[in-house]
Amino acid sequence: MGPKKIDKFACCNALKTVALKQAIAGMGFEALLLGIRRDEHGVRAKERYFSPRAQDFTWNVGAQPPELWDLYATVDEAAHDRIHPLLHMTELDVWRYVRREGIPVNPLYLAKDGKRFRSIGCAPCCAPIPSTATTVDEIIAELEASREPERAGRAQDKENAFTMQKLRSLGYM
Amino acid sequence: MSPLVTDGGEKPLLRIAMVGHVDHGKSTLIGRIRHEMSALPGTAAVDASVAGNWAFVTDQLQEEREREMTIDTTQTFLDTPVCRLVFIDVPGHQELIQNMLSGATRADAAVLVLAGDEGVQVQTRRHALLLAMLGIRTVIVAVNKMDTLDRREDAFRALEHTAVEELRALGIEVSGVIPVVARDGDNVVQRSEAMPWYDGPSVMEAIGELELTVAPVDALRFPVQGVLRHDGQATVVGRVLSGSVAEGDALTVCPSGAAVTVRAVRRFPEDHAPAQTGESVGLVLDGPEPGRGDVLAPAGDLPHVTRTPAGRVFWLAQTPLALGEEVALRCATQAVPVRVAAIADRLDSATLEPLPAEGALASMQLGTVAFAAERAVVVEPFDRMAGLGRFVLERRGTAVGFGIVG
Repeated sequence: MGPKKIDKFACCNALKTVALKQAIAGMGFEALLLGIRRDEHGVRAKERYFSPRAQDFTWNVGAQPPELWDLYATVDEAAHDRIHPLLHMTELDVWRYVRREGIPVNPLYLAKDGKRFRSIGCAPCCAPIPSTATTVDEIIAELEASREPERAGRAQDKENAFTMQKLRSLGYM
Repeated sequence: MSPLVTDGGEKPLLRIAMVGHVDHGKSTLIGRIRHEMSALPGTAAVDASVAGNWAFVTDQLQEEREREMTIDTTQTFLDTPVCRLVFIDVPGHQELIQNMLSGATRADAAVLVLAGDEGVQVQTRRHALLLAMLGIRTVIVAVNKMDTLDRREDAFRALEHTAVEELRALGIEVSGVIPVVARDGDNVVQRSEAMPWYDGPSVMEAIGELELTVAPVDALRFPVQGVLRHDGQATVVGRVLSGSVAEGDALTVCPSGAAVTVRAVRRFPEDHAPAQTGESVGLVLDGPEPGRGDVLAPAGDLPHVTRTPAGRVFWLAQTPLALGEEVALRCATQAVPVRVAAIADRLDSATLEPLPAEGALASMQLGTVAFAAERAVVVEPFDRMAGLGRFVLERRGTAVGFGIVG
């Protein structure tokens, strides 16, 4: 296992999706509350607040149930549901919310030796970005001026076209 | 969704749906806007690989790129110096109308994209009809692909006239009609020098000038989401749909009519100030305990309580809605079984022409439907109280149609 031994797609699928499947089956979960957001990635931008998943985890992006206003589809025959309450928040919204509510943050998000993580996943495939932001206020100021996408440091998004779509259609978050 | 409130995010939020017929250039217009506006700080540059193929900014699925057609709705965000914009792209294909609605029901305003070479088509009319139904009456028309008309003024004026008249017939007074070549950027962000006869705003300038009518703060409407029990005390939780609620207020529980008094407003961290429109709070009440689906309102200004709700219904499912059929009606936090008692005034959403009377409402048809409800429901006219004037009809948990209370 690990991206040096197998390709990134296979590694991501095994470490995240397959592991998640085992956890859901083992714990008997009916729903997962997830913090994914539309502005993170063009494929996540197509999500719904309530997203039903089949037994094999597949996400049929082209045939999602209608979701009108805030009348969400809360009753279904899906194997499990993914619930995405933060879907409409942007990266800046999250940091402004963290500041307003005084929420503790993982220190990896704060700059150390001129670098910080802007998006955190598996260690081998996440790279820090150059940054001097050591406080939440400085992160907000940095993002307000940045033109780099949030997940620029995430290798699986870039490996080849549609990797994120393939991962998500199999159940990746 | 209520606008997200964050410190530093006080700028107004404006959500704009791009609607119109398939292949008229909705995604291309959004992509071109994103490209030209990405010089803004805080806005990620668009991927260089999409240059010239601006629709790929939002069409991120493999199938979408291969078929050159938007399949699912998407949102993309733009932070401008004066407001925060959310562009909602929707598919223009008839088969994907449910995805169009998933996007359009979250919009405050719309840009109706009309290709100059094709003019008003089936989905142009259907999307315009849906905007009118959804109460989205702030609409800009972008006449795209003006290059196919040699950027001629007479051709533009003819399309402008048709679009304005068709939308007016639906009750929409357009906020502007703009000649555009989305692919090349003519009148998208910058004004075009190639159409000197046009002296109006670009699409982005017109969006910047939009003025939304903000609904006045109205009487209290508090749809109950549920009742939480803690330390032997029942807290009634929900989001304030309209108005405000303070400790000591005398309220009526609808539909039962029971009288209650607000003993405490509960939130975290603890704060007893009145709860305002859009806020999610808990209420501790003196009096009979309400349940999920009930609506709290001031005694002197109650919503409509009825066993026979009715509304204009747009049907989505392949299997028609039949006279006598039972479906679930969802409105605010209510979910009530209702039987179809009558179907009248059917309209074909492709042509906007009336259809002969028939005891069923088929996919993509609009009709006035009267229901007999299993128990009393709380509704109000959509124009007075949108959150109690719109409903979704479900079969076994799947939305199969939606309606507006007249």
